[in-house]
Amino acid sequence: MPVEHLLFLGAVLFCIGLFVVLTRKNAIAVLIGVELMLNASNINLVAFGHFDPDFLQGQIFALFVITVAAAEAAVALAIVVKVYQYFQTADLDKISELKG
Amino acid sequence: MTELNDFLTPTAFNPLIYWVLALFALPLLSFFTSGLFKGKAPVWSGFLLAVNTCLSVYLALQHWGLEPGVVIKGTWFETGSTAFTYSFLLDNPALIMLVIVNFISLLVHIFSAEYMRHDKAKPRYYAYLGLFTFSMLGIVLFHNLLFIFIFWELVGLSSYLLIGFWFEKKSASLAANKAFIMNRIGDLGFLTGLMILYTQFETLDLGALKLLMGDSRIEDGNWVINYLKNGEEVIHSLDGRWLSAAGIALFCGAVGKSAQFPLQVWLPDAMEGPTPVSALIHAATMVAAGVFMLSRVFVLLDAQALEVVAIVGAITALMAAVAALSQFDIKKVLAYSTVSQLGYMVLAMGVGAYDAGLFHLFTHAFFKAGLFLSAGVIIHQLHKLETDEVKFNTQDMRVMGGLRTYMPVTFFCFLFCSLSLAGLPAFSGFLSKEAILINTHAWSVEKGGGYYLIELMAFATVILTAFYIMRAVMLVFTGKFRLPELKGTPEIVGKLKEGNMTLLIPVVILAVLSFSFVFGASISAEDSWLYQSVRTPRDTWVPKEYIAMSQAEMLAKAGTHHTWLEVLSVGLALAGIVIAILIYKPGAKLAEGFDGKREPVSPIVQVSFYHWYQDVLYTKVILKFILTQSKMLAWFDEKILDGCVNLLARTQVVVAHLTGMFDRYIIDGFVHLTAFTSGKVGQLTRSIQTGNVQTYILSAIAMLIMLLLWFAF
Amino acid sequence: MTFATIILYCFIGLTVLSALYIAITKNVLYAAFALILTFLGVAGIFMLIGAGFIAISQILVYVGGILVLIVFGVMLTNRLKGQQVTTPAYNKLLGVLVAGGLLFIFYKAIIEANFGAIKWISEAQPESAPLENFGMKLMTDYVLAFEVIGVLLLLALIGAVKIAAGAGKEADNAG
Repeated sequence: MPVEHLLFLGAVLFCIGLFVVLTRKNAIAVLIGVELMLNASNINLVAFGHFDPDFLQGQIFALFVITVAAAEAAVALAIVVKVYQYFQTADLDKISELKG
Repeated sequence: MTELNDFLTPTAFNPLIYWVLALFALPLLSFFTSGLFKGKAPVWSGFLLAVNTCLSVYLALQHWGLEPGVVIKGTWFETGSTAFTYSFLLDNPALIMLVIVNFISLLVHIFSAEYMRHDKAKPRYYAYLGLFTFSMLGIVLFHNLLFIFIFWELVGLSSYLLIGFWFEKKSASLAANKAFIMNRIGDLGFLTGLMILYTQFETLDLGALKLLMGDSRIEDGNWVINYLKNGEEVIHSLDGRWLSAAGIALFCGAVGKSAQFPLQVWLPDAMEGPTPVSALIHAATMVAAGVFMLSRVFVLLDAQALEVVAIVGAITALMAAVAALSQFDIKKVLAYSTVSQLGYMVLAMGVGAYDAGLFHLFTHAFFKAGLFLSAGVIIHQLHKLETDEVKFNTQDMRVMGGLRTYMPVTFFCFLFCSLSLAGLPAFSGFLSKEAILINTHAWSVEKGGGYYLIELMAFATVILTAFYIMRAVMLVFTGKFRLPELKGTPEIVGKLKEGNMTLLIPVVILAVLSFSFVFGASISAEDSWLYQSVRTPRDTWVPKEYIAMSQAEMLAKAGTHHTWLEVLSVGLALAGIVIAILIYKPGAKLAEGFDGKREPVSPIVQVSFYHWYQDVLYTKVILKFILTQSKMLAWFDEKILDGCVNLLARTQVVVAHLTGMFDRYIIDGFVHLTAFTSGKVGQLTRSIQTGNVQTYILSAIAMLIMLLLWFAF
Repeated sequence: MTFATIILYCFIGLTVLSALYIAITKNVLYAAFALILTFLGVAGIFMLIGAGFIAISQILVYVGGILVLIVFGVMLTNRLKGQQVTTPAYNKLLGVLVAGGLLFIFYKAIIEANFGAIKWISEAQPESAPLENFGMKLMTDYVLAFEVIGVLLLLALIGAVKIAAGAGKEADNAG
């Protein structure tokens, strides 16, 4: 199985994740998109790591990414909850403090 | 050649400085703290003054007769290479003045305790007295013209405060202003004198000035001095006339403070102050400060300056004596008499009789203070007769009369002091006045010609003095008490009483001190211990060409006429007294017909009553001239200068409008255009900033894609 | 084509389809459940290409941890009153354009790079790495990174608890 197929899978997942991030109004949906994108990167890492059984750099890096993703999810959800309590909505459209 | 810095180096430490500082500190303490004691202020201030008097007596006994006195010198401050020094000199005149100032001040403190008993502002009064004593001691003790000037001004200030003590009275505050302004005019002269001397000698230390003056000389009409300063030779040269100018300018200060012609008009008005103040300041001490200052700078005065001094003194003496002839206000009589006597002292200084002038200053201080305090007793006792219904002027001699029977002690005190003033033998005034007259005669003989006029004036003043003071005595103490008749209230006669002990003790002490035996057993001034202790400086420091006549020479001439001069002056005084008694004796027409008169009718007497119309002259002519001039200047200012300014302003306004329009439409137009453009651009770009993070990510990725596309293809 | 390969492609298909469903659906809860499928698919792929440990971690962390968190988040941030928790989409066209553009670029890049021709890839013998090997590497060569990531995780968790705890307090106050 050529490595390209897995890379394409990663690319597709990443783009879907990006699309979700860009278009969803709900903060949690955006978070789901981010998780997708992280997974896409993991796929790439593991796909290359598949050809490197001695050093396992890809897999170890993927492990780190998973860890960071877990941390990110925890913090992000805490923030979302907090934001929701503050603005009484998780709708990103209405949270526009950055508006110039 | 003299090194200037030698004069300015501080003297070695002398414990005497503590005594001197204590002398200053006590009255100053009184000034600052008497306010805290409220009703007890007289006791506290009197106590401080008593201590101070004891101190000064002790100091005087300790340092009596030391020639040429003890000098304490120190550096005040330095600016660059110029050092300002202070110095004290304790010589005989200073010590005597010290005792007199403190002693009379003490007596006045005691007297005031009764006199001011019901005044609410008593603490303020005593504070001012303390300030005055402090400043007066400064003049007496310092031996540096700069410091003398500073304390001179302080004395002027305290005089101002005390004259205007009852400032709610319009006349009192006006009198205070007048005194202050007249003094300022004199002080301007004083300051000018200081500047001239400083320009020439670069120091104001009197000791240094005297020595440097001796080193200076006249070359081709120029007044030249060369000395060393920090080892370098310095030559100062001024026109010779500046030497006289310096002397006359210094004398101007004395003219102001000692009420000499033409600035003497403030002193009679100064009687608005409380009577004890008049006794202390405007009779005994402060007005004498001018004479004392003259004695300090005596050796710096050249022949011309001394001549001016003599002439001014003689004119003042005569004018004031004439003015005193017709006054009804008892304090006015005494005030003019003071001016007249001050004229004598100044005349003495002018004719070179330094010792006679100072001697008269000392004797006069006692008998004039005695006269004023006696008058104060009378005024105070009469004041007690005043009720809500019966109002009268307590100082007016026309309401008095026959007071001898009611107030015998006061009568005798007043009489003795008057006789002393008139210059009868056995009284202190005789000694000092004789000395002045003899010296004046010698001076006139030496000068000859028109200078006899000065002598004539001096002798005329003798008879006038005797007359006016005897007139006052007769009007006040003999005849019958006129007040009950005037007011139609016979019952108040019985209420008039002698003053109490607090009032009488100071008066009696002063009366005793106006006898000549206090100052010497002989009837000749030369034998008096006080006269001998203030010998005229034998050496004179003014350059030879400008020197006044030698003293020794003069006295030799005077000596020959000694006896007949004395006889003449006593005869004149007696004549004056007899005339006064004859005119104002009880039952005499003039004395009786006095009551109704408000002011004299005869034009000659009016000249006297209005003091030669000098005040009128000042207000009508000088004041008017200045006012007219001011008005003209104001008109010029308003119409011409302001017109020009306004025109300029209008032009500027027009120009400003034009520039304003240019600004508004052209410059501002640009600015607005820029602002508008920026605003539009901002609004355009603002729409990008949606505040939505996703949009940002979107655009960022879109940019990234385009970038990659750009690189890839 | 081996059996394993077929299964691999099945997993790939599952992953892509469930991912597409996430992109299409408006219901956040459905998206969350579709995400479980995606993660499972990815985990299967990892397992099949010899990264067993990562696959297990993927299931444990993502499915067991993150998804539970997400579901809790959905529940906490929406008042569930019978109606569906939906999220409206916007910028759809732009999103499609950008995502599609990126995909195109990725595609071109992968094709251009021609990874199969790279020497170390073509010469490698893909085989399943033993788990103890992975553990050895983790405890030797990458021990520092491992420790650091542990600390990072700890900090993130503490931080999350802190933020959420504060939020709960505020909610109490608000309530």
